Amino acid sequence: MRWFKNAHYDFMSKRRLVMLISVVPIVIGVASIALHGGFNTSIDFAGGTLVEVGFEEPVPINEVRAVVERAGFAGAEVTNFGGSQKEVLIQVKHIGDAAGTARKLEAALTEQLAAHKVDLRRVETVGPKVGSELKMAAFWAVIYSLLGIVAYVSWRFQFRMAIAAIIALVHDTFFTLGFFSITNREISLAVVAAILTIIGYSLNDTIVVFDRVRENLQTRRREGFMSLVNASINQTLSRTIVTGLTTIFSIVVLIIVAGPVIRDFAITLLIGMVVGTYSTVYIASVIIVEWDLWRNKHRQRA
Amino acid sequence: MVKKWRYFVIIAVMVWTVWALIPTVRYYRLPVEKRVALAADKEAKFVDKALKLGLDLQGGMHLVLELDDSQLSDNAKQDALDRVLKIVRNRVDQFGVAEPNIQKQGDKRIIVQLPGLQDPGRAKNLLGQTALLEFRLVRETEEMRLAIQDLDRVLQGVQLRGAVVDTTGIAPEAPADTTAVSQAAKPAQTSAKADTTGATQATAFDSLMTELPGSKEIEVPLKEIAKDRPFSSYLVSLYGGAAVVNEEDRRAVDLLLTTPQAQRVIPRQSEFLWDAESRPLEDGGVGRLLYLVEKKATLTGNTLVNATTNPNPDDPSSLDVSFELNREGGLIFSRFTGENIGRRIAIVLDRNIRSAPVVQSKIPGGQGRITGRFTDEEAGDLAIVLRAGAFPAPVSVVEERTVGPSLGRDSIRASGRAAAISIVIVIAFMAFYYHLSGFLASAAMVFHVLITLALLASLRAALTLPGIAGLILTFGMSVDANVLVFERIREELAKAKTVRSAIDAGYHRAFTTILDSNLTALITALVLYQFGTGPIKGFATTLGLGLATSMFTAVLCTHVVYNMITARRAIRKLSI
Repeated sequence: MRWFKNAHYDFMSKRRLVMLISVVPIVIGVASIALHGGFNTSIDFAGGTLVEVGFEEPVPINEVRAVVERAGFAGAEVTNFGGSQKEVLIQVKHIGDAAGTARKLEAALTEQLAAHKVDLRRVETVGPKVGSELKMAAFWAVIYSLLGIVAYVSWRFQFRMAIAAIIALVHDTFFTLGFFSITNREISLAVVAAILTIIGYSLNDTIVVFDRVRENLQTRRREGFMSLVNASINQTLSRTIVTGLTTIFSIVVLIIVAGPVIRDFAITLLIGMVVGTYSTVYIASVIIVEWDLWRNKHRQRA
Repeated sequence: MVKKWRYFVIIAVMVWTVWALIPTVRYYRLPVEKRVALAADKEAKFVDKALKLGLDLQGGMHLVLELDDSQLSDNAKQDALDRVLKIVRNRVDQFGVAEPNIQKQGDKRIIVQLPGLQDPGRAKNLLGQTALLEFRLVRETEEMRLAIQDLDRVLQGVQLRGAVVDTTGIAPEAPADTTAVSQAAKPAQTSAKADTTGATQATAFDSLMTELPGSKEIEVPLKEIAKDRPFSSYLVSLYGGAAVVNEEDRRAVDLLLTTPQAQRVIPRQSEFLWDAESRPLEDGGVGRLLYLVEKKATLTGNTLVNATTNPNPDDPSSLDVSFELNREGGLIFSRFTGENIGRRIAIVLDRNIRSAPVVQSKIPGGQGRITGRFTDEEAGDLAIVLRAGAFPAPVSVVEERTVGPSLGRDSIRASGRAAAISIVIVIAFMAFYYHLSGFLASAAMVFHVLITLALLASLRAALTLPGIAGLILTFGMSVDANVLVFERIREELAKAKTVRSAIDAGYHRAFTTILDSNLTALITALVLYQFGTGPIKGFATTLGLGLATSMFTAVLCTHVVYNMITARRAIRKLSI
């Protein structure tokens, strides 16, 4: 059983067109982010209170909302969680006294909805200072990751490969963030962790191809660089598909079987993985090819 | 060439893994009640070595407390956090939670993790209180009267946004939470008018009975008179050395008292403090007492050596809290009470007045009682908090993540199922695509998961929900290492090499690829670990450990197995 045994797809021929098309979702994403004036952050970053309650039977959401409003939190988000009428998620963002808010909400809910057997599944409060600290920490985490990657790849491969890889990663990150912005999903700590995982995976993929390029450069120097890169992608195609498939299987299982909290995390990972694989071919590889072409052109002139 | 040491390493790791996981298996096979009992018993060492579940899996509370040391002297600042740490430990110890985790974070924060906590509200109360106990002298009625008069004088013309204090003395509307106090530019009242008002007030106050020890106090309602009583209009009556204020007006009174005008006329050595509890009023409604007390505390709780709960002699069905002071405190207390017989002493906890009893006689023994409408639990908690001591500065809860036990159980079940299904699917696929070699790789991958879990257990790191997701991920990614090797081997076989050399070449060539790709993923895991908190850290830990162990199992273990197979007889065709 051997897929792509002698793959000879020509990835590079349509590269400029495809790369141009790639830019479109990124632009849309960035525009959406700009239009929304930033991201829809969860309480992890905005500060605030989150209370998740479960009831024994389905409770009309308006009833819960009324209780929350009476407790003094008219602006709170009250939604059904995980597609179930029995689970409700209440969020109050940008609140100064997050801990006090939680207590008030808990008291109001347990007292006034006692008939439905309230189960406080989860309570999270994040003070505003901690929220902005987490934001800074997340930001720096991504920056440091990228820096570490540039350093490592430059050392083990070539500098231009490092840059190409980084650009691919930035593409993946903005694609994911853009997706979140367009669908107005919340960005929480878990999402940041997912994005960092995507970076790791996409990089992994890119490294495998570049490793093959590096190896081919030693043996197939005569061949044009573009053709060499193309060959490298084809040679690693089998591995890419198999690994991609098994990882996707794992994530799909997570999406189907795990609870709603992990589900969002997993969906992000899924999208990121597909994009990550794509970016290896049509962002990173294209960049090193174009870089080489550009260098040759200049060398010829000189 | 068969490198013997490889066999030893692999066998050693296998043995260690099994040994490291035995406590976990033992622990989780016990029914839940036994587990809880064992957890409380600190002698059971194997509990400690079992794999810990994160708070999001077993339910529990994660709190971050922050110390506000702005008011402390530089000297006090240095060990303030350590003191708070110690006090928090004391309070939590007495609370009785299995395996609490209390650590410093930076120089102003403390992380408190209470797994399996059933009553988060109580824990928050217990840990958030400063617990500053003070004994202060309550000002005499005359002083209170004068202060109220002065306040009435200077607060005239002051407006509360949305309502004006007018002649009928209507209370401001309910959204008193957002009211601010602003100044109306009004000309000063003529002194004549003030005098008449003062005279009227004096008459009203004179009708009060002065308090004699043992006499029964009567509630005397103050009559609403004129608009020149912006402050006292909120006072319902004077009772027991304090002013009675309707609970709804409390916010308004607070606002009035914080205005610069009010601050100027309140006697420098005194301040207004509220009673800790509200009380029902005679004509229905709920009220709260406002006391005028000495600003400086004659005695604080740092001289307290013990606090216990006892049945209240006046009301045996409820508990009160008895305290005992050390010798120095006892002496001060004795002198304090001796000098102030007939006057009231306020027992203040965190700037709320718990009670203000009249001193009947000198109290020599340094012992006393705090009474109140406590539930048994509240009395117990108050005793705990007094025993553990007061925080040197206010401490607030800046972050909290509490997961109820039901959600924890659901999460374990769901993620366990997901993990099991993942593994089965991946094994099936590997066997399908790589035949027998696929099985070998699968065995290696399962081994890899076990090693990771064993490492987590021995490092006492907790397995969190994102951690399980990370494990599932590394499982999928460890496939990658195996795949890289197998693809290489296939390529080498296609070049018509012998099986042995194809295998060796495959591993050799693939190794650098695996190394590079895993190391870069490790960079992100490291960064995540560094910058993450709580569950994210758990994710990074499992990710990092998983990557490291997957390199071990994929590269070393499977290669050794191949060596074993091909050493026996010359294999012509490899099932791959």
